[in-house]
Amino acid sequence: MRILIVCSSGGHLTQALALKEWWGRHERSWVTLPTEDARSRLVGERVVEAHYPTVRNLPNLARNFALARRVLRAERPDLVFSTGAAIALPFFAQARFVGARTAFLEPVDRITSASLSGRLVYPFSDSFLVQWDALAAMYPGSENIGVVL
Amino acid sequence: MRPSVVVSAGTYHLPFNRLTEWMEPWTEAHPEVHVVMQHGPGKPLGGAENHDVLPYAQLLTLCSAADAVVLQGGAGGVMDMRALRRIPIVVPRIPVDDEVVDDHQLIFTERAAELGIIHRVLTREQLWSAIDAELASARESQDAPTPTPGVANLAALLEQLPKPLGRGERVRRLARVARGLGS
Repeated sequence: MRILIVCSSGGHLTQALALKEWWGRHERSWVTLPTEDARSRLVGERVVEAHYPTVRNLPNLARNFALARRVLRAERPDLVFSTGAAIALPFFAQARFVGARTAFLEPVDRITSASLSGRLVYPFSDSFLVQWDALAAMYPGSENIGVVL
Repeated sequence: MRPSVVVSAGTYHLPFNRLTEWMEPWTEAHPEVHVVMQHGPGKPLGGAENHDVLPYAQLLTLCSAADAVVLQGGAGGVMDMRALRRIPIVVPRIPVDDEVVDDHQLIFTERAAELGIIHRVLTREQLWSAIDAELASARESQDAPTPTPGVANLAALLEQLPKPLGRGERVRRLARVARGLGS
């Protein structure tokens, strides 16, 4: 399986890196933000850097939609996977145009309230995963996998 | 060697000035302690070695060697300390003064404290007592963290590609998001 892992740096990246048992078995590439922690923690991985900042920044959102279109066409992933945040939306909204499935994991610190990025990608997620029962109740069709810490 | 305390407001894009303000009286009262502060977009801490953002590996090295570690209540820092077998003191951001957009750090740190992986503090007096207690105690070596269930469950679930979401379900979800998820 070819996986495209899309996530912000910082805690979202920490959640994604903790899943190495899964993604380590598959061919993969990453889309993340151009920050020092992401660069140092993804040494040796195939990485595309997205436009930053992404939080409530419309010009960068538009640039990242164009970037996502290019990356999805070039990488042709079977699955786009994300642990958030806003950078997930351009990739999830366009994944099906290249035949890719999508899976989103709400981070462990989302317990009783849905994240903004979770709400945005929920209609575009073939698999929507959460880590707590209270959040599963807010997202019909989601699955609770238990905590990743 | 001087005792050391590492304080990190994280790399979040919003300032966490309350953490700096709570640390100020303690730092002033303890000139013998070397305090390293990663303040991000917030205020630097008087009397401390200040950094906007520390290189990730350097921050972990400092935390590993420090006598006490004080963090904001994000999952990333808590996970990093778990990997280092450290129990950090954690001050959750609250949705006041633009510290954070909602109360998710308050709720997450409550659960993390129940799991025994952090010391959660909600007042500056609790923060000062927690740091004093850390400096007074010999650091105990923690057991290697046990894997949490989510990793294996996700690996099993996503070993196969998920089924595609039907168009009808996509529309229902869009409508649900537009209404607000709770309704």
